[in-house]
Order: sequence, then structure tokens, then C-alpha cells
Amino acid sequence: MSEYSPQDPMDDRDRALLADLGRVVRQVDPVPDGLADRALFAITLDGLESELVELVRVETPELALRGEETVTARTVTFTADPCTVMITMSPGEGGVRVDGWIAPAMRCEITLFRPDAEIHAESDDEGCFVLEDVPAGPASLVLRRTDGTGPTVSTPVIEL
Amino acid sequence: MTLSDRAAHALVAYRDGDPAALEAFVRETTPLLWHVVRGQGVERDAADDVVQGVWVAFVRNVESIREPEAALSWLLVSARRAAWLAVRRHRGEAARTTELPDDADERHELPSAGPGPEAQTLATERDRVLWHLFGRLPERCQQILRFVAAADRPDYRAIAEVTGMKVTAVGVTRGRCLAKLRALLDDDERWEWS
Repeated sequence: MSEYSPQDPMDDRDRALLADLGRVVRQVDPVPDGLADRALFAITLDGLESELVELVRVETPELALRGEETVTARTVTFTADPCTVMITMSPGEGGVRVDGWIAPAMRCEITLFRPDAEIHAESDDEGCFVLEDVPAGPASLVLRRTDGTGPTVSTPVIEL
Repeated sequence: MTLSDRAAHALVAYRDGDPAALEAFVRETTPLLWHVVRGQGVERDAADDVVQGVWVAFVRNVESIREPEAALSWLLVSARRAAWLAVRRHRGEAARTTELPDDADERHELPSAGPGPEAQTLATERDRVLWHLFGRLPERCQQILRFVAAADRPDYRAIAEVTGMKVTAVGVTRGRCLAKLRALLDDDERWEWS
């Protein structure tokens, strides 16, 4: 079927094709804005805190399908061995409002790390917490049980 | 200087207490890691976390990577492994959350690396044809060509690390994949070589 031999060295047409393909791939599947900043921030956070259990994001397909549409609230779930944390981000008056829920319910000190600041909160007996007026940008949540037991857990850096 | 040289340079500079070189290298190489991870079929949100995790692991292991020349290889192999784990985890979740048989059709399948509705973002017919036919290539071919296209002339060793192939097979496989894509394009009346 093909008139081309795989043994041939790359010719100009191959190189042009790869250039076109690279352009198309970057257009269809662009690198998310701020990814390098989030990676650098994650490196910084990792240097600050040791012995963290990293939570892993759980895909929420029904939300993912909405794609680039304007979604007013965004819910992300993270999970690892000690607990699951679900957070909903919605636009507030002075920034982003983060509503969180920890399961199983536990009292935790919560620190939201941003590149230039930390915001603190505590969860109640139901495992719920709220962070208000958080500026947009990269952020990571670190959770510590108030009674000092169990490991400290952290989320990947997400974009608020 | 090749990307591999810049990786070695950044590693050495970082060990010597100069984080600026690392930052520049992270900025330069993050897009490449993104395409490696996405080429393995990881969803965009998860790929974001995977790429971060690879960089964190890189810095944690900065002292244990003995040969600075191996820094880029280390990153590429880690990215491929982490992507593979993410795909496996996603499959596990998908299996656990499978709905009743009636809903099976709508069950979220693993995203293929190939074209989807996102192709609508392509402005020209020519680009859409290219993306569509690219998606008809075998998965391995898509991974190789995507990486070769995203990286600036990667060497055979880098391609081998991203795809898990033997280095000796890279040249022929790349040639075969390019030949397949060219044949598909030749057979498509909408396509014109520029």
C-alpha cells in the first residue's frame, strides 16, 4: 500500500509533516496555562513539608465533559489512604470561595498554600471547612488532624 | 546545546545551589512532559498532576541521579511510568464505578490519544484532516510521532525511553509510522502536500 520505505532517512516532506503535526497537537491539546508555575510551586511546597501523604485527584467525568463552558462552580475530589477531600470552588465577592468536606469526618487544621501567602482554616466535627476570598492562582491544601494523630496530607497544586 | 545537555546543566547547577537554572529548565521542558503524559492517554486534569509529580520526584532525587547526562532520560522514563500508573488507576476507578448494564454505552471509556471533539479547535480543513488521519494510526505510532513532533529533534534514546521500545527499533519504527501517515494522507483526496 505504501510507496515509502521505513528504511529511508527522513526527507523534507517528513520534516514538514512533523512540523505540521507538532503545530496541530499543540493546538488541539495545549499545555494548560500556568502548568510550569504549578510544578515550580509544587517543588517549593515539597521542600517545606516533609512526610506528606499526597492525595490523588479523582476524575469527575460529568464535569470534565463540560469542558471550556462557563462553569460557575467546580468540584474536585482528592483521595488517599487516610481520607478523601472534596472541594468546591465558586466565585465569591473578594475572590474564590472554597468549600471543603473531609471523609471520614474529622477535625483538621487546614492550610491553603499560595505562592506568596498561607490561609488557615479548621474543619468542624462533620469534616466541613470554608476558605473565603482566596485570590485566584495556584494553590495547594495541606490537612493535619487537630488531635495530632495520623499523617499530614496534601493535594497537588490546583488552579483556583 | 541539546535539551539533554541543558538538563545535565540544570541538574549540576541546582546541586551547586543555583535554583534559577532549574526554573528555566522546568519552564522549557514542562510542555514536552505534558505531551509524553498525554500521549499515554492520561486525562488533562490528571496529566496536570502527573507532570507536577514528576518534577517533585526529580528534585527529590536530584542527588541520586549519578550521571548528569542521564537527567533527561530520568525525567522521560518517570513521566512514562507515572502516566502508566495514572491510566491504570483511572481504569480501576472506571471499573468500580461502572453503572448498570443499561448505562454501559455511556460509560466513560479511557480517552484515546487520538482525535476527539477537540479537533473543532482546528481552523483549517487541512489541519483537521491531518489530525483525523493521525488518530487512525496505531497507538504506538501516535505516541512516537507525537513525541518526535513535540520535542525538538529528539535522539533515538529519548524516543526509546518515552515509548519503551528498544533503541535499535526506534529508527525503523519511526520510519514505518511516518510512512503509514503519509500513505493515509496520499489516499485522502482532501489532503494536498504543500
